[in-house]
Amino acid sequence: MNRQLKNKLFTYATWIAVILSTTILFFLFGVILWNGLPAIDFNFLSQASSNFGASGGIIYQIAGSVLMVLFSALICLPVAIGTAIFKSEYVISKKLHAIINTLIYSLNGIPSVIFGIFGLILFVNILGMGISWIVGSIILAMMILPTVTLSTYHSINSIPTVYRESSLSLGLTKWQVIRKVLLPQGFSGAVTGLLIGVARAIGETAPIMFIATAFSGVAFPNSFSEPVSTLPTHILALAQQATNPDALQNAWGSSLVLVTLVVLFSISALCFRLKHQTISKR
Amino acid sequence: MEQHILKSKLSVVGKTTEDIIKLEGLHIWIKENHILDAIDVNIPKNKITCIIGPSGSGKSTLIRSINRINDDVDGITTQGNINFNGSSILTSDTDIASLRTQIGMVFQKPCVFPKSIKENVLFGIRHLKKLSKIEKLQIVEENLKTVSLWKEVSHRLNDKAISLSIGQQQRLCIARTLAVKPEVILLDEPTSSLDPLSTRAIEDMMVKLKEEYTIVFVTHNIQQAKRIADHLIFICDGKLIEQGNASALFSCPQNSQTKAYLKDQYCAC
Repeated sequence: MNRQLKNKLFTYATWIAVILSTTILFFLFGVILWNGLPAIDFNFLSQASSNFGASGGIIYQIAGSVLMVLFSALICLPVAIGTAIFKSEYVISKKLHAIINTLIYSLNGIPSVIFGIFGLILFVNILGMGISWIVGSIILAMMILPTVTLSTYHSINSIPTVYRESSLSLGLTKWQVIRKVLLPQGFSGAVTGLLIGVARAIGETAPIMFIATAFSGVAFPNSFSEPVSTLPTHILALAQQATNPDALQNAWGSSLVLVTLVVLFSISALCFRLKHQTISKR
Repeated sequence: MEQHILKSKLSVVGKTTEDIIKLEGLHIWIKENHILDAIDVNIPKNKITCIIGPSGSGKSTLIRSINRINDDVDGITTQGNINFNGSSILTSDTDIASLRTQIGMVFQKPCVFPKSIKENVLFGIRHLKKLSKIEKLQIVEENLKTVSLWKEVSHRLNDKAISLSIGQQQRLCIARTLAVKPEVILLDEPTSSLDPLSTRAIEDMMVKLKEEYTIVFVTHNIQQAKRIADHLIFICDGKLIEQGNASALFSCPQNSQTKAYLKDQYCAC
């Protein structure tokens, strides 16, 4: 086989890979849209569910999901920024960097159901916090911590050293340099990571299904220690009664709403990243 | 201009000068590499001291150790002593942040912050003490005038500093350093990324600034050192080869290596 032919074949192969992956994406979107759209109307988005979800709407599921990821973002952000600053500014040794990286990737690699079991044992049983949405938020915050930490770290670390040295040479302390120079620049990375993390967290079922949610009969929580209903667990419950065409219809509708939320978070992450370029890119 | 330099050079002859900084037996290792080997130099007050030498000779490491900006380099070991105004700055209880307000530094690549021109001038000083609006404006005007940037930017102080040319940015960086009112200004090849015109502007500025400040200037450009230096330090391969009065050293270097380097920019060490 000559070199030209090999080159062409390789180009075609990459094209096929791209087409295949986009087809899968659009096929999934298409099916969810096709089946979900007929279920969606104003009542579906504004009413509480009844008859175990087979009739009524999903307003409390949407509220529960959004509330839970919002708090997980609030819990996650300070820890992620702190870890990112420590890794970027205080760790000099390459060995320690490698160890921290391994730890972060390990946390990222833990299966989500393990987080659920961990939350059940520690928070619900040992600490006696009961099945509540705040436990779900804490567990989701742990899950998205690696994503947010790495995103923040990369945006802080990509600021050229000369900015740090210039500020230090003017007599600023390390803390002033972090607060006045690095954080304003690194914050966009934190928010981008947070939006990507939240997009992932809002779709998680396994870690929250036995620690934070009830499958039916809950409204908006009045305190930290009540369970909520969420979109993914609602879909799970509806899928279990798939023989009922009404339930199935609502499962598709809920899926469409969930996917729309995920896409919204992802697109805002992209927009945010494009809008707030760090110094290094200029 | 030449005359002006000559005059200022002549005016300092005969005056006894004190040394503001003294390096005694300074060794620096970065991991296993011996970057600086027993450097003994003195830096006279209110003079321009030029550090010259081939690339990789340790010029930057030397100047960067004077305000301890090297501290954060991975695997650095320092031995020996650096005296500033009579006291050691290498002790563990040295207040590094306040040391750096006394010994400022300008880097090779101009580095302006993503803020306005005005904010850039004030960037260091406003973190050190509280300033009223009038004080701020005075500091901005005074320091931009010193670096001859005032005429060019006085009508657009709130524009982004990034909109200035590279030469203007470097002068802004010098103004920012001057605003903190240091005693010593370290400049690490500040003109190597600039055009000849901006380079000359900065050289002229240095000659004026030495009335008030002590200037340490690293350059790989021998002609530049010839134009501005009062005191010359020549290092090669981490070792001090020769130091002394610049005009004496340029006219008759004692060391054969210095002679070869000043003539051919080549050093066989």
